[in-house]
Amino acid sequence: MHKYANPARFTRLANAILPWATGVMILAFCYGLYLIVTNSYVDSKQGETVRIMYIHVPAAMMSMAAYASVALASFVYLVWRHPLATIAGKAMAYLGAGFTMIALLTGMLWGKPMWGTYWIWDARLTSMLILLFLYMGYLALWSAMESHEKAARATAILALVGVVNLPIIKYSVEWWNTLHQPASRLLGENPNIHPDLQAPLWIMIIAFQAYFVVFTLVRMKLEINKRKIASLKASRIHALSEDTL
Amino acid sequence: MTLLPEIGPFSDYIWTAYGAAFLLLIGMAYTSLRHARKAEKNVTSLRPKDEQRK
Repeated sequence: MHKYANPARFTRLANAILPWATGVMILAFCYGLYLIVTNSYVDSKQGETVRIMYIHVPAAMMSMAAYASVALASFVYLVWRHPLATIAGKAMAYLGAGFTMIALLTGMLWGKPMWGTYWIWDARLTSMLILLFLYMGYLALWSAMESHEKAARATAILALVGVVNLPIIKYSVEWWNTLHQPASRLLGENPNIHPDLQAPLWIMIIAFQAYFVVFTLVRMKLEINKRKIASLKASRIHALSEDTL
Repeated sequence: MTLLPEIGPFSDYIWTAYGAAFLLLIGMAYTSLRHARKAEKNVTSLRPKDEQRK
C-alpha cells in the first residue's frame, strides 16, 4: 500500500485505470437507461413509479459505501499517516454528499405518490439526513482549516465518529416502525425483487460504482495538483526573497 | 398540481427524480473535470522552464 504513497506513481496508476472505468461508466449508464425506459416491468402496486428505484437504490447504496470508504481512509491516515489517504477521503466525501442528496431527493419524489408525503421524520429518512450533515461537516471542516495537517486529523476523527450512523441507517427499518419499507434482498436464494426488475437495477448499481471510481480518481489527481501548485508557489517566493537579499 | 407535464407513461415524479439525479451527477462531474483541468494547467505554467523541457 505504501508503494502508492508516491503521488507520481499513483497518478500513473490512475491514468491507466481512468479510460477503462470511464468506458464502463458510460456503457452502464446508457444500457441501464435503455433498460429502464424499454424493458422495466410495471409494478402491480407502484405502477410506473417503481422506475425511481433504479436511481434511488444505487444512490443510497453508494452514499453509505462512500462514507465507509471515507472512514477507512481516515483510519489509514490516523494509523499509518499514508499521505494519499486524506486526499482519497476528501475526494470520496464530495461524491458521497452528492449521492446522499440524490438518494434523499429521489426518495422524497418516490414517497409523495406512494406514501402521500414528501417527508416524514422516520428513522431511515432522519438517519440519511444525518449522513448528509456528516458529509457537509466533513467538507466544511476541510475548508475551514488552513493547516493541512490539522484539517486531516480533525476530519479523520469526525469521519470515524460518524461511522456509528451507518448501522443505524442499515437497521433503522428493522429496529423501529418506519414508513420506509424493510430492506430488499437482491442476492441469495429468495430475492424479494422480481428478476425482471433486477437487471436494470444491477446495471445502474454498476454505473454508479464506476462513476464513483472515475470521479474519485479525478478529484484525487486534482488535490495532488493543488498541493503541487502550493509548493511550487512557495518555492518561487523563496527563490525571489533570496534574490532580493 | 403537477410539476412537469406528463410525457408517455411516466409521471412528473419520475421525470423530476431523474432530472434532479442526473443534474447532480453531471454537475459534480463538470465541476470536478473543470477544476482538474485548471489545476493541471497551473502546474505546467508554474514549473521551471528547464523542468518543462524534460
